Amino acid sequence: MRRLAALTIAFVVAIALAGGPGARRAAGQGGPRSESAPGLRVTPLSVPEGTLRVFLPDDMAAGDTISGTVVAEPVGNTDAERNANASTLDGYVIDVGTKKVSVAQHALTFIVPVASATAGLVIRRSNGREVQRTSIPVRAQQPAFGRVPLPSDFRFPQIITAGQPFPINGPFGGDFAKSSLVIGGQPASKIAESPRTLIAAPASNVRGPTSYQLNENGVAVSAPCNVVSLKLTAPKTQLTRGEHTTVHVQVSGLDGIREPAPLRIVNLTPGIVTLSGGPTQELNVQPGDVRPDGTYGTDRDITALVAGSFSISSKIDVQRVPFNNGTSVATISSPPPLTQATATPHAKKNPITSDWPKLSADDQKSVQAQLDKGAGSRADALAELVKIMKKYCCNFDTMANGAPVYDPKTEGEGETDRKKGGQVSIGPDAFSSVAWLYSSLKHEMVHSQQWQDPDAADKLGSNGREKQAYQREIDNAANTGLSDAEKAEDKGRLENYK
Amino acid sequence: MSALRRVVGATIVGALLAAALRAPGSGLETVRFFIALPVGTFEKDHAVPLRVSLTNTSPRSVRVNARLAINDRQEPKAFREVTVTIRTPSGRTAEFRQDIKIRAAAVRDVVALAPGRSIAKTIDLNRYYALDERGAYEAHATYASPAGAVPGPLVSNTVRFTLR
Repeated sequence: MRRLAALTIAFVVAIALAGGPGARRAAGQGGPRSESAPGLRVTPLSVPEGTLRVFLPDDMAAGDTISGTVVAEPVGNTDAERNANASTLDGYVIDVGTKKVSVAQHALTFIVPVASATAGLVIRRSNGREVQRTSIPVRAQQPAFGRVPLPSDFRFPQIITAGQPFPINGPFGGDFAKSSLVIGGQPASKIAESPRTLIAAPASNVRGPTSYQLNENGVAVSAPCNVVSLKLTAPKTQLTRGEHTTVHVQVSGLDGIREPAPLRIVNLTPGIVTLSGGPTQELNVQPGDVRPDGTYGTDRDITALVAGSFSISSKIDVQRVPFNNGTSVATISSPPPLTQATATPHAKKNPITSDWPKLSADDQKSVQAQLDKGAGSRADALAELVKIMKKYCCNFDTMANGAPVYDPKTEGEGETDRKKGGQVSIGPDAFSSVAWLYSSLKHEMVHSQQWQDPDAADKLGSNGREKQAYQREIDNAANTGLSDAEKAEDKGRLENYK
Repeated sequence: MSALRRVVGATIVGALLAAALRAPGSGLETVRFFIALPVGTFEKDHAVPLRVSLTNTSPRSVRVNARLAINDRQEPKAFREVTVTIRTPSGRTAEFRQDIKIRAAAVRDVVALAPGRSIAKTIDLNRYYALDERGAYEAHATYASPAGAVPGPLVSNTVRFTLR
């Protein structure tokens, strides 16, 4: 966050006052004060070694079970100083409600006393000496959710921002240990939870149309969403008096949105520049405004009132985002993409140049039947899939012994030996669904095909080979049947190679 | 003269201390990255099981990435925690020999390591590196984690082995 202050264009995505857990900022001055963010109450506590930032839900009530997180933000002029301070900060203990939690534990769960109007927060050194205390106001006791929760009781925002906190409303238990949330195939970071709200953040590399997979105390819920990222650029960020420039705001990951995406643009330095359209602008990006690649862009003129650098922020306005109610995992159906890919026959055998064949429902069922038997039947599931793929004229002649092998020691989903006719191994991570297994095997078949010409494979490099294999998976997702989450996972990985 | 001796002496002590603090595997870091082989000689084209371990040598709990996924050092950092540098008998660096499809490291891979505790994983060097020559090899490993854990890089001790 210190670096942010040095930037002349600020990119404030979700919270203006508080960085999410993991953010770093200089220690605040003076006593504790609470900061706000969507669904969150953030309490920064300054100690000599830095700041302890406590993230709790902003709707805490008497009698609630509450979960939150604490992030240590060490100060120091060198890495050595910061590391030493981080180590000391990890030893601090937080007394909250009836619980004592060390900062190193990161997460805290406690019960707010029934007859209390505040929740006390006491910071102690590892030797027990009190360093600081503050109290957080809580609401009067709230009525309990009076029945067994249904998936439709949970409300999920349709659009969220990669790596940034957002709230899900619903009948939660307030205990992190009983909640799990996956977005785009990757675990989301849980930041705070009350009996009415879970505040979480998707992984920073998830992008595009995907889905939530929530399990709350045994209730499995799913809902579609778009995970977006925002980028602000300007040719100049330091202006002289009267000089003009243009800020370009770009949002990506809006593929297939059905309702407007609320976007907020704010001039954070109104004393230095004017922003065309006004200092605070609330836009609605209409589905028709989104380009075929899922991006939306808009420009704003900047005029300097005085010489200096300026800051403009842009964010998806969490307060105005439309919600979806959850559905049970068994019946979830994500909205189809606006342009539905057409399944194509598998005309040839080359996994790099030919379309990958679409498996029939019966084919999928027979592989699924093996997957359902559990980890002990993975080799059989792979053999069944290979048998089916041969029916569609795929062959495995490019790899050792003419077939892939299941090897539980394989890192990730699959490995291909970097030589002509090298072994292809499929690992446990590939067996999460028939589609993921099929797509992962084809990914390795792409590598096996690449290594038919070792010189060309070498020239392509590790980066080029993976880019081609992941792109083939994404291009053939409609045929392999990848879910939105699985496709988003592949897209996220591909981003790392760009 | 004695004041000069004191300054020189203090400088030498300071330099030695700084060198010790930087030395890989010295045990003075928060986390120690250590590698070991069960024996010193292996048959060529057979498994060379390298045990890699992270040990918390500090008095505090630390977070480490327990996945310890091995991959090519050319791969993006998100897809690897461990890389091994192997010097072959002819003095070359052994090439990595697998294309791996693997997810990015995630929060679920990070564990809190209590003081004195270790996590370990065994990696077959013959599977992941081209060990094509017979003779004496030398290897050391590097651990790094993208986020949420001790970031590293931590450089291990060096092991030596022979392929016959």
